[in-house]
Amino acid sequence: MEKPSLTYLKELSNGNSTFEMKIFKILIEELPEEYNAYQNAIRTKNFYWAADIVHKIKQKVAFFQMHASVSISEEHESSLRSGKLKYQSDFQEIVTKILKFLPEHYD
Amino acid sequence: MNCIIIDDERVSREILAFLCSRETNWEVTGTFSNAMEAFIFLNKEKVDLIFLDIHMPGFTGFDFVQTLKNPPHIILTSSDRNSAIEAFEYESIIDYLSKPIDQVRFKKAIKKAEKLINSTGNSSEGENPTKTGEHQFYINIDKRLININTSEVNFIEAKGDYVLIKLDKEEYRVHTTLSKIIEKLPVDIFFKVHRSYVINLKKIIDIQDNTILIQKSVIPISRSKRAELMGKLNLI
Repeated sequence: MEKPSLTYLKELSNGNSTFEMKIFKILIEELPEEYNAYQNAIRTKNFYWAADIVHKIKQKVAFFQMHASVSISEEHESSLRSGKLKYQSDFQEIVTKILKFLPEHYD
Repeated sequence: MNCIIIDDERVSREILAFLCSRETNWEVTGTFSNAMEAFIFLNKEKVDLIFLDIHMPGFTGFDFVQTLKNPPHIILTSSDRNSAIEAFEYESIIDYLSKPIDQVRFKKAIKKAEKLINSTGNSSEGENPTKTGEHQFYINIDKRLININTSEVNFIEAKGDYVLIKLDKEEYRVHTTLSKIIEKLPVDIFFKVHRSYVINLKKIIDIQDNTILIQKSVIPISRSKRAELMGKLNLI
């Protein structure tokens, strides 16, 4: 599976480390919360809510330039909107990978 | 030139604000995580451009555009690749940015907005929206924001915890107070004639003794307000 990349952030910031840290801080705060909410939504079979959360997380996946993972997230979102759980484990693997990656790159 | 950003995603708001901060001609005057907050802001301030996320919980960007009576230029943002087609149905939507937003593409979009604003001479700079342009306000009924143009209001009546806003053909019941709604009205056109009534002076058909006729409604005038009302009329 593809790895998260900071290329987009680095190009965007053009060396502005304050901006980079600001974005990292938001991601570190938000992603675990969103993932917990997603797991709750799945547990309670609230698939529409889960799809909305996947939509939010998908933007973060795209931020890390994980193109194939964005497509998987899209498929998972769409599947949830039809009340199905297709690509659930793939999606969970993607998020887990980003969650592990974030603290390793945040000073 | 100024712009606002509406997006429920904090990272997206920060990125757009950062990109705008690099543009010398632009100032971000507000960032909003939901449409409701933005509506309240737009009711008070004039903006030249809105960066609007399509997908927001409970309210899509397209719903938002439809509710605006005189929308400024809008650049849509979305992580959905298929939403761009619908954007072409709206004249106010001038461009579409796919997330994550590419810097070159952003620059192109904002230059397009600049060009359009400069060509119409319609910048917000130096303009006070409360004194110029059309007066309007929004009311919230059943999670729907309805734009009310004040020139269409005949009168407003207080009824307990509610006010009734009477237009020619419609009537809206809003949970608010008369004094709060008066703050939104142009003082030269609206006048409180009674503790329970504010009228649009331009809609008066006739005045007889202590009553005013507007459309088919008879509205009482307080004794203490009568002289002031007469002073506001163009009497011969």
